[in-house]
Amino acid sequence: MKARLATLVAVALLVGAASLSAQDPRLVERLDAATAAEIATIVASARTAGLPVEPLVDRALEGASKGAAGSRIVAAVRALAQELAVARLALGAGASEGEVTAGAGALRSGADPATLTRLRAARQGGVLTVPLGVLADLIARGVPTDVATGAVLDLARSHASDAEFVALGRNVERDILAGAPPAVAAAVRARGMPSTLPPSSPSTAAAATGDKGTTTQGQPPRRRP
Amino acid sequence: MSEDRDELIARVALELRGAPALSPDLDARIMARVRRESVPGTWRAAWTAVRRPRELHVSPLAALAVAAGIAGLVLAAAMLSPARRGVPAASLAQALAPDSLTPVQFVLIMPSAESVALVGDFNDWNVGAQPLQQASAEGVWSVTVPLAPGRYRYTFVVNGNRWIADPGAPTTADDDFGRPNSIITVAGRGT
Repeated sequence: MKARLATLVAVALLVGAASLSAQDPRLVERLDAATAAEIATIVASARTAGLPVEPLVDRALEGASKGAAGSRIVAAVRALAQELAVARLALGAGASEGEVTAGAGALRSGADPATLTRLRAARQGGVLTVPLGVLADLIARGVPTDVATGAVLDLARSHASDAEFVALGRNVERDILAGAPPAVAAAVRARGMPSTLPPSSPSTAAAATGDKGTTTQGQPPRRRP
Repeated sequence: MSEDRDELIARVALELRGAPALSPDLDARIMARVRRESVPGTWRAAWTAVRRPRELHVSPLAALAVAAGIAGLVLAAAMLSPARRGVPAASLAQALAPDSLTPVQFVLIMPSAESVALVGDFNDWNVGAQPLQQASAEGVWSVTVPLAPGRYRYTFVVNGNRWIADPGAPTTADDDFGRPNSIITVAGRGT
């Protein structure tokens, strides 16, 4: 009886130590104790399930920086954990953390899990992080989900490189900013046709405020052969 | 007749008492055989010994002490982890695989701004982590951040309290906290 009790206490000590070690110091520093504890529980469950946990911590830190209420932060992190789980299921057990994270982003944008599975089949042996990111970007830009899905799948089947996926997203974005309907811009760029649209101009929103923004990646995209 | 038999017995006994002729290298051959067989025999014995079930008698106090020791090791490992030491994730990634990072330049043109900061998934959404530098008097603010391939959410913080999405980038649908984010997808070098 005593030995059994000692075993239980020993197990409790080990579990307690594991939970403490799972408490990310960033959460403790920037969230109230109750919220940090709830997030830590979600993170621990995700880790046990083999899901990436850094996006969950990032989402919590984002909420903290934006001054969101604890309950809202917990709800957002829990929703993201579920999306990560669905993405992992759709992409397969061998999916990397980056792929699962990008897959969750694509799901949030409006892609369905079957699309993730089809993309995996279309780009066997290749990493899907960038294609999934571009898919989410296209949908976020207003490209209808089926058109965006078709464009990305076609590119994957043609063994395109990551840089070519990024170039697709950038070209569609440029065309949309120039005034092209998102569906047309994506369909044209997906067929590899040169755009006949006028040169890009600042977006309406940016022009209205007088503010402009841009991002430039160090590696220029390669053109498809 | 009896004397003859005794003599025969005596001769046979004499013959049997004599040491048989042995090969001069017999000892060496026997010892070589023994050495050859002793090594696998030792391993087999050790393997058998470790597989044999044994009954251990441990007091509850000793079990607690062992558990506390293991818990201490787990905590020590956690305390010594890079994240707990406060090493920024970006610098850690750079230290691990500098070739896999792509420099990404973030630019915001806002003449009215007095300060601009970049926050996002790559810097723990820390407002003080990546301030933009004013590149010209026309209000061009920029900062370059090395990023691994992937998709990132980010936004600009102007004058320390105004959160604005990048006007030149798509915004995320996952607007969980009421302020829109921009997104960027980064390809790896040479991929």
